[in-house]
Amino acid sequence: MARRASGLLLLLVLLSGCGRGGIFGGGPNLNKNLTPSEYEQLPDSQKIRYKNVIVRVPDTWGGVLLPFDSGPYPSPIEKTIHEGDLNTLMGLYNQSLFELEHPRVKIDYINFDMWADTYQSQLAVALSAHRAPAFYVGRNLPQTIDQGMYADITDLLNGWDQAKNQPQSTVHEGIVNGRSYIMGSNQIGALIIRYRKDWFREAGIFNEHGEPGPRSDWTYDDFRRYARLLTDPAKGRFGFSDMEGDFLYNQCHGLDLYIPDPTGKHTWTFNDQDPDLLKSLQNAREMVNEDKSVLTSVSTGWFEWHHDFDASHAAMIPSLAFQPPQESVDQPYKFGKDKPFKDTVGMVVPPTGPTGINGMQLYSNAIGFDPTLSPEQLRAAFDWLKSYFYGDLWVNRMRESAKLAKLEGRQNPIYAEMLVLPYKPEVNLLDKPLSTVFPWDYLHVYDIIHKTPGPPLPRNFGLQEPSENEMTGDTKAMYSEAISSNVDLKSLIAKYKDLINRTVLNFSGPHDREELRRYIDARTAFYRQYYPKYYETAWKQKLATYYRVP
Amino acid sequence: MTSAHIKVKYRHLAAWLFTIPGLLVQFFFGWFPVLYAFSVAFQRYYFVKPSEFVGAKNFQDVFHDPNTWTGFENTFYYAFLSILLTFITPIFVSILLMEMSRRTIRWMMILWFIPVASTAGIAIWKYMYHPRLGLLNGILAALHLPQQKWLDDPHLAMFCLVLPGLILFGPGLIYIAALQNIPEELYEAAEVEGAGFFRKIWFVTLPRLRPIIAMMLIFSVIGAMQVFELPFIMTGGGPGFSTTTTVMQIYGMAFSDYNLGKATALAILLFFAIMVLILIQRRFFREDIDVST
Repeated sequence: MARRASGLLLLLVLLSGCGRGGIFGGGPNLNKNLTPSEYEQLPDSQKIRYKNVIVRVPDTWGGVLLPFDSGPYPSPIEKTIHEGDLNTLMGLYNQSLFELEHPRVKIDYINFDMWADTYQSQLAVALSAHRAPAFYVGRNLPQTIDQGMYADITDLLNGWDQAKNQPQSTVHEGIVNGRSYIMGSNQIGALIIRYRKDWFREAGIFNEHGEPGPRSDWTYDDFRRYARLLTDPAKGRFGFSDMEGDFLYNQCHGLDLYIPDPTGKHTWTFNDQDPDLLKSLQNAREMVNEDKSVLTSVSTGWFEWHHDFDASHAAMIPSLAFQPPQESVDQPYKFGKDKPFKDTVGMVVPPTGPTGINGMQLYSNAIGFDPTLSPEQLRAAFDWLKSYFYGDLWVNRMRESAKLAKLEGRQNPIYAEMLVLPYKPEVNLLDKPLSTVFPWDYLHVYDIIHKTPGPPLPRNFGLQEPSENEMTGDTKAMYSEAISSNVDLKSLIAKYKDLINRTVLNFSGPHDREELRRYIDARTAFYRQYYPKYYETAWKQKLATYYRVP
Repeated sequence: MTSAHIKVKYRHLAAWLFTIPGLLVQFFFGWFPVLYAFSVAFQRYYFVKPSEFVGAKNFQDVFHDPNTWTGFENTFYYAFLSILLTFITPIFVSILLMEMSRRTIRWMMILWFIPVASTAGIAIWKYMYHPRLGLLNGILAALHLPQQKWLDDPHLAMFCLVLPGLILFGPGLIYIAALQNIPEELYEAAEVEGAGFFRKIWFVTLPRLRPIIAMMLIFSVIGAMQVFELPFIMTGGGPGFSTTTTVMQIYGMAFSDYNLGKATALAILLFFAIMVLILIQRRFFREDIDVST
């Protein structure tokens, strides 16, 4: 009996030592927050246990992975060192630095392809399995917010000194019922037109600076005329390349594809009231089949029309503003040694329609956070991105990139980075003004981008919106049919009105009327302030005719 | 208990022990997802937060969605074209091939098999069909023939999707393997009875191929009804909705719109449509050589 009791006592003593403060590597220190120097003094066994805030960082925003095999070297890390893979080594350095600054945090680098066609399905599966990165690109908003795919980061944004530098359009995209779910990425941009300067020179088209290219105040008629002029079937050249659609007509004419439902039965209805819709379809059909100035097909997508441009088949394409400056650094001679990128590729804002609007909106990737993260993980993930975008991590990787570029005889990537970065870095690394690096048109587009306000969105007023993907899919099909067949366009509109109203716009909320009023008032104020010509000549008329809340 | 009983008992136990791993894999990766899908179809499904039971709403949405019927119409049209061109044609090609020397047959089989690398093949065909830069229109232009819109023509697009299947899918190889197993004596007997080339095909070859044709028909119907990658890569479902198939709609609903409940409801509808087709086929087209149809 005594032996059994003493055995039990010994077991209790041993078990009591297994807790956080026990003798097997716990210690009272593990429960309190340590400074980096206190953390460094812990024994190894306690250090590893102290780090209990895991943040999975994807390769898109700083994650690097060691080579999978060591090759002829004793270990992958030695392979990295001796082969001069500075990018990976800087990634590891940043990982270690961030962990030291945040002793509780352990950064796990992971591969997660945010740009694959299958990204959305991969993300859905990863989130369900609790294996998603801590942050990822937010697409198909606000449906994915409604799906609960992003954490609420309102409080983190409220306490962030650079929150105001995020692109307004991205901020608006991520606000639903007053709560924020999206952080702006580190590349500010907009949908712009990139064009071939050498072909514009051949055609004798020059901008207000006397350089080949469209004027920055060009109109949609100019755009269509230039597309015709630049088309040369003998040389395999087309004026414009894009997917089958409206070829920018709708945004340049302020055409909304859905408007408040006048019957009040649903929130929205397909906008067949605006005469511009018919003109838009007619324009698309004519550009492809009569002007033959547009290189498009049913299989044309974003990558295809960019390849058409790179392969010298298209004079103009829609593109994102941050791409040409970055490509001018990364691939300065992609068109040949005698055609430096900056002298060959220009960029200009989209043309304006007759009412002075071009529908240009700021763009940056929207970043959402894994909603299953603990508050500590969420805070650490947010801190990582801030540091990666403009803090210590940013400074380190910029210095490493600059050194690598110098060794490889390339231009310092800091210039393109600074042109497109919406945030203010803590350290100034620029050694010369951007005007000495980039051509006038690149800088001018970014001047305009920085002045472009973000319009209010229905979701900011608690209104449900149709799925962007469904809406885009259905309207793309409408334009595709208009282009590829001779069907009567009025009957085509009627057919798609019926289809879209039944499938995409078939919903309404309990307080839609009041919310619709607030939304339309906000849009009215927006146009009055920023686009007075459009307000006077178009918006007022729309309000008086069909843009009304029942 | 006698030793014979014990032996039988252990033999049963061993049989079960060897079968259980396979059954478990089949259950978790085969049957469970199907059963789970039936429950998802009645939910507003969220990937992260708890899902909501919505009754038959997803099925109602699917039935009231005009795109559902467009998708089924296109899927049936694709299946019809596909079976007509890529299922029946190889049967006759294989039969004709069997008339050649063994060496030629071997070479033809190799040549037939080489292009069966479907995804790469699909990507290449997409560029061959390009209306302005594609190879096919280049050839037509060189021959001074009128150029075609190919995939951009709503009336031609589906045919263009099926056509690569004639080259890229190799059921012919399976028919050739089956044809090689038909006893030579049957043909000799038919010849003695005075049967010519076509009568030998009709009375000897086709009946002997029936089991393999029946099996391949099931696979072909299932494959054609589930077609996804061809239209997804080559046309994106266009022009208009002329090549949008049901599985493309399911994919779009599930992973573009994140409406997994509706997507699953549509998948279940497709499941039953395929099942009905298979039942009809099995009723009218028996596999057994000796059973009259």
